[in-house]
Amino acid sequence: MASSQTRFYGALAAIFVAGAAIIGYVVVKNQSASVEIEPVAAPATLPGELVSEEVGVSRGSAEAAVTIEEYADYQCPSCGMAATLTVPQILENYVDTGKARFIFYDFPIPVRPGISEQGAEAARCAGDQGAFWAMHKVLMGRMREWGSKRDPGGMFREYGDALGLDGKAVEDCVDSGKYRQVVLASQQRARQLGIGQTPTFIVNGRPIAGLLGYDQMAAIIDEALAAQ
Amino acid sequence: MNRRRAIAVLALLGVLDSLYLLLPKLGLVNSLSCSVSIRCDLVNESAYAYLLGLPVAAIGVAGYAGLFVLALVGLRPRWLRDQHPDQLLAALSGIALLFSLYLTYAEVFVLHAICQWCVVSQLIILAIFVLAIVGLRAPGRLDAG
Repeated sequence: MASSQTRFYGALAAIFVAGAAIIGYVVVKNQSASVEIEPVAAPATLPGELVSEEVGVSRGSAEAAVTIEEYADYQCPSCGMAATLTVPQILENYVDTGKARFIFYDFPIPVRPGISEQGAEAARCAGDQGAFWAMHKVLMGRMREWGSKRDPGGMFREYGDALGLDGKAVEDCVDSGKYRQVVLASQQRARQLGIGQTPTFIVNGRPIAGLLGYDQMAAIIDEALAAQ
Repeated sequence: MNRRRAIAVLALLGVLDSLYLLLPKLGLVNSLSCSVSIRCDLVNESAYAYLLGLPVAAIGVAGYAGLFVLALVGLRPRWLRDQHPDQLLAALSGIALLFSLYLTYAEVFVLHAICQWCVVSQLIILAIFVLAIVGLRAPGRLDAG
C-alpha cells in the first residue's frame, strides 16, 4: 500500500515537473522582440524588387548558390519573431554577402481575416519607395499595434513617415488595392505548395516548417552551400 | 481508488494544458508557428476566450487544480470508501463539461476554427466526468489497492 502510494505521488510529481519544464522551455524560447523604427538610410538603393512572375519579393543575387524562400503572415506572431530575429541576420550574413538569395512570399492565413492582407500590401507599397524590407520588419515587429485597428491605414502612414518615406503615399497605395492581386497570387502559390503553417522556409527546395533560431537556419544554409 | 488516481492524473494534465493556453494571455509566449488549418491563436484570442473578463484558460487552471485537490482528498484513507468526493467530482466536472461543450460549439459553429490544445482540455474533462459517474454507480468496486 505504502509503496503503491509513494509511486503514485512520485508519478504525479514527475508529470508536474515534466510539464512545468516544457512550459518553461517554451517561455524561454519565445521572448519576443520589440522593433524600433529608424529612418532607412538610402531608400532608393535598397535591393527590394518584385519578382513579378513569382509574386515574391526578392533580395540578393539571382545567381546565388542557395535560394531561401519564406512564406509568412503579417499577423502570425511567430512570423513576427522570424522577421525581427532570424531573417535580418540571414540577410546580413548570407544574402547581402552574395551567398544566398532570399525571396519573401505573402501567405495571409485567416488569423484576422482581411487584416494580414492589408499589412502585406503596405509592405509592397513601401517597396514602391525602395523600402520593402524596412517596412516589412516594422509591420512584422508591430503586428499587434496595427492589427488591432479596424482600419490600419493611418498606422501604415505613420510607419511610412517614421521610416522617412512618403507615408501618405503608402496609405493611398494600400487603399487603391494596387498589390491586392499580387498578394492573393502569392497566397495561392503557398496553398498550391501545400504549406501548412507560417512561417515556412524553403532552402533550395528543402521545406522547414515553423520558426527556427538563426543558428539552426544558418546550419541548414551552410549545408546547402556545402552541397553545391 | 485507481479511478480517483486516474482523475488526479487527468486533472494535473488539465492544469498543465490550461497553463499552456494561458501563457499568451500573460504575454509570456508566442507560438512557434501559426497553423493554416488549426487556428489556436484565433480561438484563444476570440471573444469566447474570456468569461466575465477572465481568460477561460485561467478558469481552466483553477478548475483543474480544484478537481486535482479533490481527487487527492478522495484518496485519503478517511475518504476512500466515501461517495461524497465522487459526487462533488461529478458535479464540478459536469459543470465544466457543459462549459466546454459551449466552447466547442463556439469553435465549430461560430469561429470555424479548432484549437488542438482546447480539444485536449475538452477530452480531459469528458474523461474525468465519465470516471466520476462510473464511481457513483459502482462504489463497491473500490479496491484496497
